[in-house]
Amino acid sequence: MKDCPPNAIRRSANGEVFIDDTCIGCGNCQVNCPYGVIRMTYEAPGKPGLWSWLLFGAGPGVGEERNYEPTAAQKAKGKKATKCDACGSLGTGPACVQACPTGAAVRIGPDQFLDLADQRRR
Amino acid sequence: MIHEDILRFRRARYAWWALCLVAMSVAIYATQGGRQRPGGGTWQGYVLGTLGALLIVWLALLGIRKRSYRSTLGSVQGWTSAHVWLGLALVLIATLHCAGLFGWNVHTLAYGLMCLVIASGIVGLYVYLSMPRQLAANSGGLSRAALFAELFGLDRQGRELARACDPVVGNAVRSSIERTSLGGGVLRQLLAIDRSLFMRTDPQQAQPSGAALVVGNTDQRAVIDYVARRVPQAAKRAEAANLQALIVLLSRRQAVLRRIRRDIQLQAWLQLWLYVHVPLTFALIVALIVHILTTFMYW
Amino acid sequence: MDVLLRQLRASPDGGTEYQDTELSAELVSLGSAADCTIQLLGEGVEARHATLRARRHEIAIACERRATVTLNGRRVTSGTAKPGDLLEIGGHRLRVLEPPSGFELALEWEPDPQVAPSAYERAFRTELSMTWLSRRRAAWLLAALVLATALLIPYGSLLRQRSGAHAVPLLPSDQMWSAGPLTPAHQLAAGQHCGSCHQQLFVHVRDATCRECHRGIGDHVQPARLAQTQLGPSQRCAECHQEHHAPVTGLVVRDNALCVDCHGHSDARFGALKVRPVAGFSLTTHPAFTVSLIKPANIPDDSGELRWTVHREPVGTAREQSNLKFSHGQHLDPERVTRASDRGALGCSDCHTLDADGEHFVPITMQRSCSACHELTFDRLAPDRQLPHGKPRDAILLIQDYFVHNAVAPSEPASGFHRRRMPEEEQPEAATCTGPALGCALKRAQAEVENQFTGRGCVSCHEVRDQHTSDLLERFHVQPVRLTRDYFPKVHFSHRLHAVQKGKSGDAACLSCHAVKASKSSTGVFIPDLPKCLECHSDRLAVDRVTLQCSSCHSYHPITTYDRLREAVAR
Repeated sequence: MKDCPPNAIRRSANGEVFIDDTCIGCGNCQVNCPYGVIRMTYEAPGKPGLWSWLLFGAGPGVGEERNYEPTAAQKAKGKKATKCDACGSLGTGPACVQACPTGAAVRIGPDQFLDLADQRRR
Repeated sequence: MIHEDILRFRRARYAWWALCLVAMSVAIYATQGGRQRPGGGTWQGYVLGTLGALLIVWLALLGIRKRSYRSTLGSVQGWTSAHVWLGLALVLIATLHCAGLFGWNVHTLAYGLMCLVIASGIVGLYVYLSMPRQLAANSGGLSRAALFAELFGLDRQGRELARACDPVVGNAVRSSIERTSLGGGVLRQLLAIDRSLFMRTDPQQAQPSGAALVVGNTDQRAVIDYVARRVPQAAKRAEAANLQALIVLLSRRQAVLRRIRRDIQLQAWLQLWLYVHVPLTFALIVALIVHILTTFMYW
Repeated sequence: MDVLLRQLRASPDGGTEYQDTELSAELVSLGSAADCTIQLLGEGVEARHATLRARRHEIAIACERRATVTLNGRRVTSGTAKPGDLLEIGGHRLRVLEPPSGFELALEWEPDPQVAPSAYERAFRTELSMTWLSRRRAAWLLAALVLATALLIPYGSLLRQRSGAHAVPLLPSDQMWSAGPLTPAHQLAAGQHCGSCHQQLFVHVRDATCRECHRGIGDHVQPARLAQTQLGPSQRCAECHQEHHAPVTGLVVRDNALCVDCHGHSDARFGALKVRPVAGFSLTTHPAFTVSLIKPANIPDDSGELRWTVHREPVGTAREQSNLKFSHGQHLDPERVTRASDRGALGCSDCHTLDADGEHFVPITMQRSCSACHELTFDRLAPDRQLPHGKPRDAILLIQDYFVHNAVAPSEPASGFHRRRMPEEEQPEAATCTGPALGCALKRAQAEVENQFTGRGCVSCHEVRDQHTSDLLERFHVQPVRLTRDYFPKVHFSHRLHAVQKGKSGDAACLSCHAVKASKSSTGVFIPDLPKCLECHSDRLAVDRVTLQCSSCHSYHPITTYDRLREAVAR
């Protein structure tokens, strides 16, 4: 947090570290992150929406595209730092938990670790 | 409870919803009779039919909700739990709507498609409840990428060991690595069919010219056997030690391949029912629209 | 074909190693699949890329679809190679060598040094989504199939039929849209062509369409009378006649609610029409029965004209006025009346014969019903001479003729029956009359006529009016007899079905409803009232009752004119 010139990277009240839009793409956070979870990425170009993909197979579909090709303009903007911030801005918690159809993905706090171990043991 | 399965989500709240809906539908159905025969054309039939049609549309919308990652309209698990329970209720509601009157017409076609969708859904429910545990037990908590990384590591070691061996053995081992078969077409994935091959050269074999033959190597057994047979024929101790190391490596490779193959098989069964469920849903929606339209065309 | 494959590899110490392999194959296949003769992995190599075939002095190269190879620097999809030529596939280089003896083909293979592991993984298809299965394609296909089969092709068939052409066999027609089987008669008449009844799309089947075939069906109530009520337009045919439910249920819906909807509120909604409200079939919901009786409308004037009208009277207080004198009680009493043939008591069926419709009885006439016992003799000395059952004038003339004949020609009596006169017998006429024979005869005749019409004879059964004129032929008028034959002209009741009830049959069944044994005169109406029917019937399901609906007795469509003429009057 100290090495971020615009002070874009902060820790929220719940403990999640998030990076806001003031990031200048210097890459200090990526270098210093002990867990290696910060990536420097270009902006992703627009793609056909959900219904076009559903009905006609247009585009790569919803969700993150692994190997996208940024446009020249996006390349000129440069890379920005991104990381998982537990979807703090969404209000209902991490989108991955919301999106899991079988409830396999849950977010628990340390106080529930013992319960989880008990459950696994059984 | 840290994990709730989709049937018992929030204390089976959607099961109670489904039960109430069915009870209400039975009550509406029971008020029929008298001046109009029970069927889809009475006001009760219209109510039940509208309910069924709205249910069908909402059930199909699960495909949209589960791909709307920004949406905060409930969790996808909640939607899936409701989808399963209300989908089961739908078959009863639709049966009450049509009062059991069937024939060779578009109305029964819509009903039949609906039953097929629900049946494939029940298959899917069984698969979703039983297979994840088997998947976790098989892969030991490793992801597919991690298993492949392990496999490639073994492949690299195998190629280096093969280089240090006799060219014939080296060729056999290298070809067994390169001609390994994993997955494949639909049947090969579902039934975990292994069509691995390797190239063997046997001076004593029926090929007098000493040509190499590409033979079957299902489950890597043939190549392990081939290398093992050469151990007693090894002239030097170092060569024998190399062959032993090769056998160990090939056996480890065999174990990893078995895991990956089983993983592919389980994933394929986990997804196969959707190739029935989803296309039939679209056919059902078209049949539903035609059913409603023609009901009013020949009013 | 024997092939020598020489693989070049970098040795660990920096040099180049050869690795020779002998292959034997009809056709050498090149590609990344595991079962190719020579497996080449890496970018740009298809699973099955190309094949090599050795001909006499050259190698034939053929690429699989979409694959190309570079032969001597040029991209080709097929070609021939000679020793010394260079073949490049992906990053692999294959040089054709001069085959040593014993081989048809020799290749020197320099593998691609940059094969990434991902190329290896990509050789595997590890998900169903990598196979030919596609949810999207299947969904479009099935959706199009359903649309065509269920909507487009039947609609085309509909247009064809409307323009007069026949339906194409085996293709789905608009029968696809049928909601269920038709009743057999309708299936025969209109089943092949839905448009016979469904003449306009999105419009209910109209009554006019039904009337195209069912022409004689009458309205339940005339439109002019319906307009006097607050009921709105008449119900559609389809309200009660529901098709497409055969054979589970018949065509007519018989639920009481269809009738009670209007008739249950007749006091409030029928406006100027006075109809008693009916809500069911029980003491509280159904009004008491009223019978229709034929009665004289006037007292006949001098011309003798008598008009008749139909009166509706409640059963309990109804009185017949048929102008016939008859006592059921007397005729059924075995001590007073017995049958001529076997001296047994008279039974109901001796006079009342059920007609062919099972509901009404053959009209009672003198000829059919009474003449078996009642002779119209007038002189016990001439038991074979009977009065004609017809106009009074004919009877009077016959009486006069008889007595005049006997007076004028006593040796040829007017009777075929010769009876010896007994001395004790009174012969008042011979004792008192002293004038000429003709006058005595006419006086005798007059006395007999007066007896017939005022004492005993015609007057025993008929109502006679004495005009007190001097002309004997004009003096007595017999009132015409009209026996009511149909007490409930708007209701169907099957006597045939009621011939055996609750263990009773024959006369016992008749008498269980018609209490005629106590009757003394013919003014009695012995039609049972509502409570009698309720002994066995009810409008609700009950264990000890036979359920009736409104339509079990009442008809929505009027009984035809022919029926009406036939049933109202009995002669």
